[in-house]
Amino acid sequence: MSMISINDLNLSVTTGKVEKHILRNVSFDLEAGEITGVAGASGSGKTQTGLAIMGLSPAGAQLSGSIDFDGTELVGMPAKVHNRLRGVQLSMVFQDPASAFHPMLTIGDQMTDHYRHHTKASKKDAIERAVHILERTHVPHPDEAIGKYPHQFSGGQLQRIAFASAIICEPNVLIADEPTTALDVTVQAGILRLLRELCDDLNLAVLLVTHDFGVLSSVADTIVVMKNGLVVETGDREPVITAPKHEYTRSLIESLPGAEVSR
Amino acid sequence: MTTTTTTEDSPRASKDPLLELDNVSCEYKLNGGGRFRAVSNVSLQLGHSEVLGLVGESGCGKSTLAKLICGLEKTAGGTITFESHPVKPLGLGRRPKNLLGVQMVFQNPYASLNPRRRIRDQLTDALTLDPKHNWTVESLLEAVDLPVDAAQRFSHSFSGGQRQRIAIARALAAGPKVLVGDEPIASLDAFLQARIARMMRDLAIDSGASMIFISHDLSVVRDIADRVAVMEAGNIVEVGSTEQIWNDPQHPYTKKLLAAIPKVDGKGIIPG
Repeated sequence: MSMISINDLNLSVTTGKVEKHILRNVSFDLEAGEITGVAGASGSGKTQTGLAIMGLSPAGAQLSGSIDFDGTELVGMPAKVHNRLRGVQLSMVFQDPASAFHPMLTIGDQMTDHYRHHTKASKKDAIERAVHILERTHVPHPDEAIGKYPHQFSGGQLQRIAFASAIICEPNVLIADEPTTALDVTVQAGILRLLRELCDDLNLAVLLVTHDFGVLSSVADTIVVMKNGLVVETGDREPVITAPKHEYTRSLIESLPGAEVSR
Repeated sequence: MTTTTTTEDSPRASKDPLLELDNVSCEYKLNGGGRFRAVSNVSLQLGHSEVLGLVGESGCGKSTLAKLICGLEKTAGGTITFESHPVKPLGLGRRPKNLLGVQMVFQNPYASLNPRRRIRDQLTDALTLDPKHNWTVESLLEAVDLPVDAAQRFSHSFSGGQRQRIAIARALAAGPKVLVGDEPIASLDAFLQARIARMMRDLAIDSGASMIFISHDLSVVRDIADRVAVMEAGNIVEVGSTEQIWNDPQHPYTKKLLAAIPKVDGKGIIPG
């Protein structure tokens, strides 16, 4: 049984009299312990799919279809109930680590806020756990890091802290929206290794949103290709990349700088 | 696709480099006193009708070097020469005429275009700088694959990729001899990156200019550059033809950068 099963998900936004369809009949599954990569050009609806799972669709958006999370229906769920899942069982890591943190609160405060809210743990216990988790995501000197502010870290370190913050409540599902796009290639490799490790060790169902086929080729187990809100191709990593069935997937892979594919 | 604007006089005739950096350094003052050396003793040459790729990780001084070349930053030593004139840092006055031949395309097209002026006005501003009048607003828009009616619109109605093409058109309008692109493709998605990079190369070379293309993405640079310079912590560690850097890198840092590029082979191997 899949951890998350998306069926015929539609999302539309009405501005004035024009109804715009962002997602059309999107269906795919996320399995525990697997990384599902969603690829597509900007505006293809890949981020909106992730946000729909988190219950963070834009205000006024009409959502229909079904997102089944381990037997619970997420579409049409009251905001209060969704709040109890978000951050605990469903968590997310965003694209730009520099703007994902509050600049004036310490890492320790920001990492433990949601943990304490959801588990009612004491401040001391929460900080202890935060240190432990930072160690888990290979942040150097976690006991010092906890008292520092976001600007004192590099982008790669901040992204490791963002991952730590996302897994502190032991979630089942992790949505990673372009987690390496803002980072250098050399740092990217480290973050991808961390993502793979967390996915395997914690049996997370990971949704990895990216436009980079290099990233998908490195870590994704299955790949979903989207175009204009439609899923055009779904399959295991290797066949999708080496022998794409859909014309659009082929054009995406061919548009990459030749060097990456041939080598 | 492009209108040919190549002038008949051969740009390769002159043996002197178009742009030369000799032992250039740059320092920033740090908050608590002390100085940070962002660029350290860099010597580089850019020939006529040549595309030079400049690669390195964030914080290695690539952007500072670009700013130095455009006169947006003061040097802490060394000289920059453009067409045998020294490049002086930009002050409050008008930029010297001869330095208008160096034009820059910035990383973030959301910040580099004026949101309150129509595209036509922004391009016209740049067109008046070009003594040769090679372009018109219409031919510029056509060259970067945008519809002619784009001229009447404001920048907010364009996507990121379209805005970057407007920024490229604006830089070209001034008739540059050196086009400096500071991570011009970093804010675009992977499928657009290669396309915009090739477009920049074609437009620069077709109009008889040279280009310095700064990027942290080696694979795109390989596609479009004739020569590549690799930068680490303010120093140029290796310069060579693109083929040579890619197939036979000498410096360990270059090797490390190359090894970190994920391969699109579907094998599930994390690089590095």
